Amino acid sequence: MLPQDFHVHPLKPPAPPWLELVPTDDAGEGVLSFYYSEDEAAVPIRAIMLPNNNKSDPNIETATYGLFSTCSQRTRAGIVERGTRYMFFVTQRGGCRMLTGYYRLRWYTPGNLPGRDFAVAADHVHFIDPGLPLRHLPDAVRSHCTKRFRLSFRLDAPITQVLLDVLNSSPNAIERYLGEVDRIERRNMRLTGYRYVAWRRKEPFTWEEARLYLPGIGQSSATPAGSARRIMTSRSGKWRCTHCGELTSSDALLRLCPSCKQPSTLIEFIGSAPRSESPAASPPSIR
Amino acid sequence: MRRRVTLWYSQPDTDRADAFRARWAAYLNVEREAGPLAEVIDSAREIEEGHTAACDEAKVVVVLVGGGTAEDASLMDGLTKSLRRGDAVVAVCLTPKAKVPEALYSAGCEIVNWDGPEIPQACERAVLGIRRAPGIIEAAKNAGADDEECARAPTVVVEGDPVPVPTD
Repeated sequence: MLPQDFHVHPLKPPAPPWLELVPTDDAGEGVLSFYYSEDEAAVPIRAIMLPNNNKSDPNIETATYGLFSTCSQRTRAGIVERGTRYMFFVTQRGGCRMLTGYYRLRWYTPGNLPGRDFAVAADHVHFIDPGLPLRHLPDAVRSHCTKRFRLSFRLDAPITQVLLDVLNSSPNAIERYLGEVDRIERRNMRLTGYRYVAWRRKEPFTWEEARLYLPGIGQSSATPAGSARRIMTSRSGKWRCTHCGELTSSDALLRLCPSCKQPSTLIEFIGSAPRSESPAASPPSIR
Repeated sequence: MRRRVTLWYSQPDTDRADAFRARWAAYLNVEREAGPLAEVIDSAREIEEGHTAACDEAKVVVVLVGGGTAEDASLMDGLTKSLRRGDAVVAVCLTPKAKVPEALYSAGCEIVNWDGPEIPQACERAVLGIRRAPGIIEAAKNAGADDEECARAPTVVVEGDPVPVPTD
């Protein structure tokens, strides 16, 4: 089941603020990215129900990465810097790591985090069912892809091509993945009252929702002054909004305050005092 | 070990229930059958007790969804109670045009096709789901979930530890 605005929406690339990735000599390269997947789903979609850390990426509903979440900021910056065309996805399932799909990337847009923050978008998404255990990859790429890594690493052009061939040899199961995203969201809604508890979201992620996340469309592109480095995970699992003072429970930093929807206003909250992220960060207004 | 299953179905789907039991005998132990209730139980009280007894021993409730399932009042009543209790529920569509009851859909139950090869796996995923549920519900309480419609009520948990989930 495709979201209603999957095919056409005024905020979907190539519409502004999306920009074309600029190919470089490294454009044939790919990046292999790890994501936590949902064991309860029939196919390895992202871990939507992960307690205190609901995942929104890879966001196959919008074919984006990093638009709604703050995941893998450095990976996204590297993609934009090198004009990387292919982002492959690996997850842990059934006791082994497996290759599940890829994005053919084409667009990017600046995000609202300090430093080099971008969201990227794909013009083609391909996921397979079932995923392919990495140990079953062709000899030529197996040792490279099975090395231990936590978030992501770069792939040269020949390895990228092999992975593309492997994945394209299986039918595209994206419709089944989308159906499972919707089902697991409904299940989370049933258990918790929200499709995404940390976001306090009762609706799916859609292009209409993207309006709130795109600088220059629904929000200011300004980022906190002096914040060269942002704290991305909270030791207490809580964040305080510097705009409305609301407390939010989430291990990972969210782009917007779930309460007031202001971008880039969350700072880590520990006990009665927030953890300062920079000398310029203002004290929170606690209500 | 075969997964214990309670099979629910409407009276017109009795033949399919027999076929289901035969087809999946190697994987699923269909111990109790809660349908067709209309044939064997008359009073509302007995219906309720019948459903309760079936659920108590069930690890997974499999609902055969045929053309008349959504209109089968006694089955829907039992299904609603089962979902409220947090049972592991899997729906098996007998035909592509079978109308899936809204209660199953909104609860996010896995809905598989009669011809599909995945029914035992779907049952295992449903069991995993009820094992994880208490942790998810507890975390949501701390996140300020305040919707009275959600199932933060007593949840049936099968034996075994909660499945560990990774943290980023």
